Amino acid sequence: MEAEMSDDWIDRYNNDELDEYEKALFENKMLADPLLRSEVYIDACLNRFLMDFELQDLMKKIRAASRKNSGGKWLLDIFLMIASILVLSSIFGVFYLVRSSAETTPVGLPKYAGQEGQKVQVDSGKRNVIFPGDQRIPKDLTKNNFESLAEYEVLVGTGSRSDQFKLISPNVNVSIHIGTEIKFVWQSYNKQVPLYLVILNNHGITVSKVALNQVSSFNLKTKGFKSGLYYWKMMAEEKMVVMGKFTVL
Amino acid sequence: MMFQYSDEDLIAGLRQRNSSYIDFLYQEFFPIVRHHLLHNSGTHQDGEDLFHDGLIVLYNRIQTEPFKLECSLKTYFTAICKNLWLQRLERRYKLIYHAECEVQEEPAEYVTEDHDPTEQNLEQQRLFHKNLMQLPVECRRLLQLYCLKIPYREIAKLLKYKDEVYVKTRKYSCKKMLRKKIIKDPECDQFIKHHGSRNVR
Repeated sequence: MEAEMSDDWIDRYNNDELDEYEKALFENKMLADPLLRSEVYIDACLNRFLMDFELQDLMKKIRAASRKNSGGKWLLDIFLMIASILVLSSIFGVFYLVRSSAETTPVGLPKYAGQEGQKVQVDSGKRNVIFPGDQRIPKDLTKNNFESLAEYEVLVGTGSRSDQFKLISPNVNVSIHIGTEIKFVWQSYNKQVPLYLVILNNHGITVSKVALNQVSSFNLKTKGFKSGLYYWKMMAEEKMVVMGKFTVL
Repeated sequence: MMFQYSDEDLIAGLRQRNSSYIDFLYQEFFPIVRHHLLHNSGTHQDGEDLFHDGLIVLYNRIQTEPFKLECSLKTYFTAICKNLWLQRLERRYKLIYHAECEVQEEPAEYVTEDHDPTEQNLEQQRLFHKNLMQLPVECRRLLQLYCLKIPYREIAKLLKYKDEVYVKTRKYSCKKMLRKKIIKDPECDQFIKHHGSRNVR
């Protein structure tokens, strides 16, 4: 009876559907039960509200307008936030690329060639690329690019200062395709001594010279190299530490 | 680009509860209401609620013919909202409040009319609407049909219920669910304090 009362008697009471006996019983219960009293009051108000369809329709539309406008702003905020993140990422990305490129790539390495012994430009204080000149290799000198140079052949694989320097890669004789990088990795026990990587062609002409200050690896980019045999030597204090060769196919 | 409506257009549009006019009113008038509230102990949510209630009051006003504006609709609406906010603050916090007018026009004379819903009623209606919208769609539909005085037999057909008895039972349970939701809503406290206690839950 109790459960039945609370389920539909409230409704029936407010709709005046209870008979006299039920009504008296219900009102007695209301006197003793404040929660029931509240429910009856809320139900009566609710009935009036539910019957007012125009009001409900208007409220729905006002809520929709509010949601639409604040929702639009929310979307705009999200869009702006994403756009800002993308712009910042791009800026940092470009900055990082430029910086890492400056640190690891010898700018213009393949472009330059010069005669050995020619005075080179040294930008002191940093790890630098030193360009021995802006002279292109004369065409007649590249005719037999794959012929070995006897004086250098005997030096390939040899070196000095083995107590201070240990070459890990590359092998002293490798063949690669144009554009492939050659990774030079070494251990140097005295990093204060300036180290240079010198690339020479098979005529003994210095193609490039790279300063390797306080690093233990370097990627030689062969993009722009002509096919042929090249020799490389790592130099410390004007002395050859190790020599090798590579063939660009 | 947004259309510009005249006050007469807006009144006519609101009278028909046209969504695009209501959108326009929100975009144009809400910032003023929010600005007023943020400078007078209110929050953004209070602004939303006050705009909502102000529009209901305005809607009720324009239903009575003839409705004549003696200032711009914006000024009139702002005056309604300020008056409501004043009442709300007094009721909530019992504070003495001095309104300031942000609209650069002469403040409108605003007198509460007898048929205006009271500030408390507006808040109660908002509470009911909020909780009604949280009911399952099927319950909302059933209550709507019941309030439209559709016979139980018809409702059973429309909602594909097995019989009238089930419709009746379902209606009671939906109504009960709504009642319970409302009573459990913290905002309901202010309406039931004189009618009972919330201790029994």
